[in-house]
Amino acid sequence: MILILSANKDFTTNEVIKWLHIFDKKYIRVHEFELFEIKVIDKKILLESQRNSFYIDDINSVWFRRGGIKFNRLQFQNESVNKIMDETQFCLEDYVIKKLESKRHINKQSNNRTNKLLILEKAVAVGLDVPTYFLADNTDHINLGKTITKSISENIMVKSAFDDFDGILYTSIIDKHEDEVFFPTFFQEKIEKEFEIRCFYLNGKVWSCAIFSQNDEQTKIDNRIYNYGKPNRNVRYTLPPEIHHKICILMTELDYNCGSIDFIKSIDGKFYFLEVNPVGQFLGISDICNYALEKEIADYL
Amino acid sequence: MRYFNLFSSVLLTKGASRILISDLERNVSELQSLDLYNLTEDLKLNSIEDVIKEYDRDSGEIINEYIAFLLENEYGFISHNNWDNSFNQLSFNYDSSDVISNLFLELDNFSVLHKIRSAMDTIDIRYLVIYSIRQLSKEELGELDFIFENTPLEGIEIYCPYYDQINDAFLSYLSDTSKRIYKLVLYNCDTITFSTNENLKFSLEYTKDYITIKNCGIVDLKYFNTNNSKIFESKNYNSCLFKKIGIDIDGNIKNCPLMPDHFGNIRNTSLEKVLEMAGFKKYWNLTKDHIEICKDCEFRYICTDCRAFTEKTHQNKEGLDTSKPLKCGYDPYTGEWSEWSTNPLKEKAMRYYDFKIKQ
Amino acid sequence: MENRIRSEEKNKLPLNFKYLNKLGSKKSKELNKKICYVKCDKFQTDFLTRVTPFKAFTRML
Repeated sequence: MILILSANKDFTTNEVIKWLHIFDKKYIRVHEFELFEIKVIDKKILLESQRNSFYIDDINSVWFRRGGIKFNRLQFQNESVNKIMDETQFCLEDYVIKKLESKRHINKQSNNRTNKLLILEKAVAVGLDVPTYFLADNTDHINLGKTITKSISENIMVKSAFDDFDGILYTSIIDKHEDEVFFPTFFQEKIEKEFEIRCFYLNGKVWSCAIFSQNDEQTKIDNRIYNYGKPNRNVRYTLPPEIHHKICILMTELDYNCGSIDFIKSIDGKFYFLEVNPVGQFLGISDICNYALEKEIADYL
Repeated sequence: MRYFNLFSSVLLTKGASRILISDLERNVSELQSLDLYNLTEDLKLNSIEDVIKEYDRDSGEIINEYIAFLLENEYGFISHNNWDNSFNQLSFNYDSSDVISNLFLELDNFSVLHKIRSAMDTIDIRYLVIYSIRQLSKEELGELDFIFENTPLEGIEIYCPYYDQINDAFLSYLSDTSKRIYKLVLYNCDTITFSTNENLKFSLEYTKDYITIKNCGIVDLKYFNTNNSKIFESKNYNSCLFKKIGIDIDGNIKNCPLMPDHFGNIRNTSLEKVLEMAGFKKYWNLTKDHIEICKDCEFRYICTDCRAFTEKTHQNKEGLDTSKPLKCGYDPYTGEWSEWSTNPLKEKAMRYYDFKIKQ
Repeated sequence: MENRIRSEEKNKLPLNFKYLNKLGSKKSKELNKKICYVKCDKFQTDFLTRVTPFKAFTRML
């Protein structure tokens, strides 16, 4: 039995599930708001929510897509009882999660938060080229037009930022100096790029797509700004073996066995690592490059 | 030396008199000359400079214009010293997770819908296309989505005769209550009691004409689609019949309700059994590359085939009809379109199918 | 158009908030309105997306 931890509305999960039916693989899908109770029946641990009920021993593989297993934690009247019971419940929950993660899996619930800063340090350590970066609360040492800023948080959506639109924190070029001090901000050297590369990594295998966004002013800095009239060119691409090798080391160090990885190929021919996202979207490159990644995932589970 | 590289998402389909350039990322196709095709072939073997050298001086300018055209449309890019081999060719595999992509039903009695509904517990059907020979009451139209509630069916398309109670209020009610209907076509529609409302969740079309199911199989520019799935499918499988299943007015189960071969009746067999029957899928792998005349046509991968009505001129070794679709008025050898139904060469086949011969 | 976030917040924000982009476009908003979801027990979701087919299954008009 496959355990899929995802969101009820996740389109990608639906696409993978369609393939699981083709492969005749059984699965249990857990939604984001589902709360589980840990029960014991005949010495076996049973997880039970309003929608699902299963023994953890019956799970053979786990896909951590979104959300994760959440537990209904009980409160107790007596403060010190509550403290002990809180710890007791944590122990059980932690045991369940670690047990599930010890099975065949795609990513881990206990390791789902990325830290862009730590990842960049690790990327440097494994020998990948990383554009020079630093944190600052002023623009004193910023080379205008040659420095970008981006969010270090995973979540980049800002609800109702504009009168009738939400906002999003894409990568931007710093084009003017600021007089006032601001909250510590991530800055990075802007690389003159030949093209961008979006990779999908699964257990040592890498599928890559070159994105030619350079021809288009609108998408030059951040290819996620979509140009409806003239979409970027996306081409199947193979990374040089040494870059592939370093990606594998980096992913192993980060303890991710699946994720999306972004690179820039600079005009001087270097491959600059930008970031890793373990829960990134991959259907885009799967469709455009006809990689059938949803089938690969279903096959792996 | 400069080298021209064609982007892998740009497909050139060579026809007898022209080529079609299909852009799989921008989902558009355009016609161009065979000269341009020959040039792109030359550019696969030689540098731009060498290609220009081979042609005489007058042609050199034309070649530069062609290359400028290819670059302007971003069909390719130039690399220096050699072709850029780090980019890989696109795979044209067609891999889809559906068992049946569409079920085409000629509908009279609703009981057949319930039969289909129960079949869906075991086989996934993505889309349902209903041609109704009779008016569907408002209740029946409203009920359609309800019948397929909680199934993997993603969409329903309906052709039915128009009557005056189909008005704005009913259409917006239908749009609000039914999630699966993506297209409603009203035929026999003389006067209209509705406005073409853009806020509907389905597309609405209407026609004065009395449409019968035998109207199907039309080949026309308006039915050409350029997109990944369309082209991958037609390169590997029959572009109409692959993963299609049909049920005719008598309940006979066929690949398409308009084809003669049937494989049992919905009253006494299951769709699942039919799918396993010998011969049911015999046309599924017949691509346009193996259909006479079509194989020389530049539109062959964006066109949708028809095996129900053909010119009935060719058969292959396996006994499959490999003739050109009857309702295609395009001649790839001249590059011209003409009305198919008045073509004297098609008369014999038209009589066979009992089509009215127009004078 | 200036976004309203920076004027609403008392605390300082990172500089990239000054470069906030609008999410989506009129066109994507229009498209979103037409997205339909269906409940599908088989796939264990209440949100199976209705995707319009990539070709015309029938050609009768």
